[in-house]
Amino acid sequence: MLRLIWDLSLLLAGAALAVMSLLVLLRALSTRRRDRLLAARRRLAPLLLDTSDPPGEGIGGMADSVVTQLTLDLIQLVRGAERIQFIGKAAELGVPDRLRRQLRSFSRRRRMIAVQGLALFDDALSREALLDTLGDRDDEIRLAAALALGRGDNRPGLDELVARLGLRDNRSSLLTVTLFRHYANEAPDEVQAIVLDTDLPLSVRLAAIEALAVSGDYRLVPAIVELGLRAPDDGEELPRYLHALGRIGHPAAREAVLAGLASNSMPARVAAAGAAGRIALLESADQLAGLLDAPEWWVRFRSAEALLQLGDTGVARLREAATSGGEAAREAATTMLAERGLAP
Amino acid sequence: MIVVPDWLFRAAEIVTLFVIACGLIQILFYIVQLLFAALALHRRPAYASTSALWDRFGDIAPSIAIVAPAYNEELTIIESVEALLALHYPDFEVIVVNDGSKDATLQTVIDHYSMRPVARYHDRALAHQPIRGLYAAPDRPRLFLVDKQNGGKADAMNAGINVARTPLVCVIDADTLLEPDALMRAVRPFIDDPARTVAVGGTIRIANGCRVEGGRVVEARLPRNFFALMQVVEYLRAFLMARLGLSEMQTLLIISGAIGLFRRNSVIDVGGFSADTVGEDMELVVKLHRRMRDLKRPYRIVYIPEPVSWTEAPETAAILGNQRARWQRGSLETFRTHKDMFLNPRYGRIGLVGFGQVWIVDVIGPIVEVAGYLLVPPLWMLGLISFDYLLAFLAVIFTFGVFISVATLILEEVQLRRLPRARDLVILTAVAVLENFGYRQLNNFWRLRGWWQFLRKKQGWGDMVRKGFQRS
Repeated sequence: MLRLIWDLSLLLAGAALAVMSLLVLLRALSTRRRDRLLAARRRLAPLLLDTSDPPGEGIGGMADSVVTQLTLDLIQLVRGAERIQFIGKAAELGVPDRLRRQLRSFSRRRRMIAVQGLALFDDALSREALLDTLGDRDDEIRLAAALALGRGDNRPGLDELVARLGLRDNRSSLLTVTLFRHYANEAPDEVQAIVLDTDLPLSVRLAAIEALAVSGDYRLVPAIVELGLRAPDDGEELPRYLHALGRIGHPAAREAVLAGLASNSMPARVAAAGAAGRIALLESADQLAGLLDAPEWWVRFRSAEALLQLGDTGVARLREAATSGGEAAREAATTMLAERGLAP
Repeated sequence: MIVVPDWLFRAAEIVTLFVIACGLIQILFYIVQLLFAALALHRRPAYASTSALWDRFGDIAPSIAIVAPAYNEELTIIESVEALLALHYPDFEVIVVNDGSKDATLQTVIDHYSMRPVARYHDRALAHQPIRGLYAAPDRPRLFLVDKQNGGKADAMNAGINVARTPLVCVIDADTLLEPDALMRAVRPFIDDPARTVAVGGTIRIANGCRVEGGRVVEARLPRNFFALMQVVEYLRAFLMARLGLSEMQTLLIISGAIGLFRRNSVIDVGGFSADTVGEDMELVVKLHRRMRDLKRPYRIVYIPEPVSWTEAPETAAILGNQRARWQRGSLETFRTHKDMFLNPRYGRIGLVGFGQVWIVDVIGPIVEVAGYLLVPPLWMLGLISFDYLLAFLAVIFTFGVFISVATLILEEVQLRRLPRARDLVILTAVAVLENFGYRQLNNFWRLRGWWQFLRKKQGWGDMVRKGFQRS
């Protein structure tokens, strides 16, 4: 047994050293290859940047990977007309074809790079390839493909994406907010359908609400108010409903915001105070002034901020609290007024 | 001729077997960590470039306050702050906390950025030494300066966290150099799993020997100093194998103070960094585990290999020895404070695997290994144990050590390829072999010193004289 320990250790150490020697050898060879590719990249860059030459001229013989990588790098560096021009050039050089082939790679990293690259090309074949990628075995890659498809003009239906991404199985990534945002401006009804689909996990519906809130679509306000009023006081959804109502900034949120200010949940009161300030809900001034004495710093801070957003009415309440409030309220009011240069 | 009683033979064998068994358990831990680290690296998300990250996370990345405590950093503070302000991240602020420096750190920052005293309403949830002043720069809205009485690094970080108004706080050392996209990469777990992620740690690499320009490492090179070179392999092993493996197993117990991203509310809930230990970074993570487990809430504490910060490693035996003794003390203090979690089923894998590893590696590890050096060879020379015992002891100390270090290098080369030249690989492979013969033993001696200091209840950090990065 003891001898076996020694033999095993020798075997493992020897094997590790042998593998390392092989890797050193491979690295030496790949360094040469990398130097060649870097040299090719340096030759290629001016050719791609020169808008007078038709693409392809002078590029013959260069490695596909160099052409693909450099064009993608250039596209990501610029915006506007230049970006459109580079995308056109890349398409003529066959970059999308190569990326579509790369989608079949065994390497997860190479597939992800291909998806991110194809997101830049809004042609039918690329879209089709991205649609196929929604069936990829890796959920990160599926989500990247969905984000790419969501950006394009001919996006698939959101319900189809939700189904194919497996969002019904409760994925909570913030990237789902990004995905829904792509739809919120052009197809708000589809996002609204997600919000109202009670079979979907709460996290997905909240992501849809946040996406709609960013777009400023106020048609959902009554529904969110209703959800907010019905939400359990200690749940994670109430603050997010109130936050969304604040983002939308519509006065119809009044009832839910006032109820939120009276909530027992600290995050809900923080979100409600933020919403009251954004909506400039003057009738919340008394409640906000009362919250300046709350035990939690975040509630005091957001309430003071909200009072400042209410204008003269709020500032007057803060001045009052600065002189005659409790100790915590005095500190919050005095410091926040001083911070904004409104100290008496 | 002296007749040796049988019991003496048996006692010698038992002692040697105990030393070998402890070594084997450690090796087993390391091999499991290696496997999990390889799995984590294979599964890590593939975001090639900063622009791709920005494209994807730019709109939704939560705001971050970077808390940079500074104590007597007048020579390097401006370069460090400039580098922090130039980070690629959509929404962040830099809170420099002058921890009662005795030099001109405070005035240097105030003068350089034309900062003015300001009022700022801030939290008082975490205890710390009194704040003497708050400063802001009209031209640099992202920069904020806190001047406070000296209270140590943990105390300064608590002050910075109190002053922060963001959902996430990133704590760093003032002399840490962050890669420009470090925040963008570190925030990913908070985006992927916002409900459960409470803390994220990143990789630290050794900057000695590298070319630094404007607070950025522009050319990664290996150090020429012997001790710094040894630490390159040590850091690779500690981060790439141990922390990544433990993170994958969800048993990570430490996020280095040089770069850590935390949910601010979670840190406040556990009382922030403890000022009465030199292992405040480890202690904070353990407190987070404890609270989340006590509340039975699902959570994640994650290490990711990409966000890189660079640090200056000690280059002399005296300073390195002090650092290692301090680290050892920090581990022991944390273990003592939270000893009720050790093997406690209430804390699940944290109590069993996480604390189990701390016990075998940090608590009894150095004692048993040094005892092995002192006992096993003499016992063999006296004929009390057979040659096979000696070989097994040599295996757990030397040859398995070589295997673990070289295997970590293989992982680095296959998955990350961050070493620029083939020659660097050769040098580090040689170091990975040689460190087991001399450096490892020295390290264990320093750790024993940490044990002794722990027993004598020594407080404080000791001296850390910085030479400064090699700037072009």
